[in-house]
Amino acid sequence: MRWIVEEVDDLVASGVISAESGAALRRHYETKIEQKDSGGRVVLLSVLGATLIGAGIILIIAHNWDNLGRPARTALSLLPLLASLAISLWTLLRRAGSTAWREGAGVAQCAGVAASIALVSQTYHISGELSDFLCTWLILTLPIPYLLRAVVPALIYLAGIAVWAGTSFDLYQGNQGAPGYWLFLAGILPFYGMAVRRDRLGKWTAWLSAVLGLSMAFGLGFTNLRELWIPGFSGLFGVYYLVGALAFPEHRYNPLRVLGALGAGYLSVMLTFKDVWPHGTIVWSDIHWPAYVLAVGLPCASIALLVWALRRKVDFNRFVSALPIVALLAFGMGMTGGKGLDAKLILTLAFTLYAFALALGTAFRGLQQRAFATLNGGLLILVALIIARFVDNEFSIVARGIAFVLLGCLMLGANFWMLKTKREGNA
Amino acid sequence: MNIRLTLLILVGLVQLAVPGWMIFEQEQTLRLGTEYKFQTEPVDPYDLFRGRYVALRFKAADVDYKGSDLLNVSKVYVVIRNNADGFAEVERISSKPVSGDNVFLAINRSGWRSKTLCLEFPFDSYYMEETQAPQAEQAYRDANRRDSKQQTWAVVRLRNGKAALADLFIDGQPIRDYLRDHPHPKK
Repeated sequence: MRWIVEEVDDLVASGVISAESGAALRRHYETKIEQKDSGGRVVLLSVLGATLIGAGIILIIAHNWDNLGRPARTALSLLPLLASLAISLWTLLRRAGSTAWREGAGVAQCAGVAASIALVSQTYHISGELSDFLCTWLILTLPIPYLLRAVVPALIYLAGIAVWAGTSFDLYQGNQGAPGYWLFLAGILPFYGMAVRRDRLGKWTAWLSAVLGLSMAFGLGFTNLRELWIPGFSGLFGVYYLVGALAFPEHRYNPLRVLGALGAGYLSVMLTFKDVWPHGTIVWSDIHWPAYVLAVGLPCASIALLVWALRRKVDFNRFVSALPIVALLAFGMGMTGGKGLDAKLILTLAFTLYAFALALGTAFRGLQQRAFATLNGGLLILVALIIARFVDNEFSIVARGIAFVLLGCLMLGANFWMLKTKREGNA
Repeated sequence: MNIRLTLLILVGLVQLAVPGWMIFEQEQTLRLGTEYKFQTEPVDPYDLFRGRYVALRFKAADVDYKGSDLLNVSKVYVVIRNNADGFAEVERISSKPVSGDNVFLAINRSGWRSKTLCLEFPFDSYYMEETQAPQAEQAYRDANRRDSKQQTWAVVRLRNGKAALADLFIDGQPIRDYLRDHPHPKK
């Protein structure tokens, strides 16, 4: 917003507006900038303060005040929760309009619930599993973001459910991982929807998108898709990219879009390795139904979004959005087609071609749109692809040297060329 | 706004009910449960949320087992009886719920083809003040050494399938009294 203030000076100097209206405009925007800055800082401080106090209380609790006796400790153990509840109630009554209060109270209440449960466990020597503790805590914290309209508790929750999935992921117990993650996720999705509707391009929504995207990637990993991870993850990244392109078209670097593109690049290079593809025949009955639902649902959702995006004529990278289709075709072919080495060779070859197209397509798109990040993203995939082939095959040192020199030249050249054309465009 | 406030109060009550119920359940078990003494075995843990504690290992937790149907069950019901020395021992183990005041639910950590069931009792951590826990751990280790003549045991009360760890004994004394009489600087 600062540029407006500078612009106002120019406008006054060139006589477009009068000095008085210039001064009025200046005052208007300067107070606005001030409010915006201090608002953000106060929110940050209140969240930080609540986090520190919460962590401090947990440490003080960890000291374990043995000499207080059981009745006193039992009464004390409910204190953190009661105090945080009182703060939340007061916030709703008196400071409902203040983001700082709502976020701070929300964080305090998350910590309060955890502290009280931990204190009771300590007083009575209850040695529970971490995953059970997290499960109880997450269920109890879920209403907090909704009731206080607070984003940070929602971020804590999203991170918490990923950690919970990690702690309950146990390969030896029925092989199904932690599909309960998706139930937990379903609980917070309406909050995300509300945040997008309220402030689609706001920074809080961007934070939610980023943490949601990361949390879901971990959640999918901890669901134990077994061999179905290939369609599953390609579908997930396709969905990220297209939701980013459709819902936040103004943001070229929207978190979901970036995560989707990064994931697609990573996956496409990874799938060019022969050993990544499933070995032998798949025992279909070993795969649990949540894995099937996700491995079919995510690519289908991604393709549906692709059709929608094509109809709406939004701007997006076709090569990234094609990942789920390529992965599904390759996976289907690998599972039904030929046996042994030949089928795998074809698969890795197909993915090498796709990754190559993705790299060049993305780099070219970056050049066209004068977007350095996109250009270098595409070139990075190219570099990764070539390095990956070097790992797989035996080339002479000279050949590697020449290839790296050429790649380096290509990267520097493309960036310099774009910098030059951009400067000329500005001049 | 009133709806939101009412909901917050309701959620707060539910949040309070969870630790409240934990307290109630433990108090009931401690007051009304049947008392058992579990002999311990040797094992400085620190729990992120709950502080320092003495990790306990129980003689009764390793059970000879010849079958195979219990190996894949993650939680099992353990039925307890007293042996001739007055200590608790496992009478039987079941994957199906068993009721009574001599039963609790344990986590089964047995490997794939093991000959013994390795159980994790729900009362294997005795939490203490941070300065005392290491001393207690040391005293517990010393008392549990093979050549040691001292006996250590945990007093646990069982009721309706719930277990509550009441106290830890070394050489016939509660651990706090024992530490007072025999100071144990951590080596």
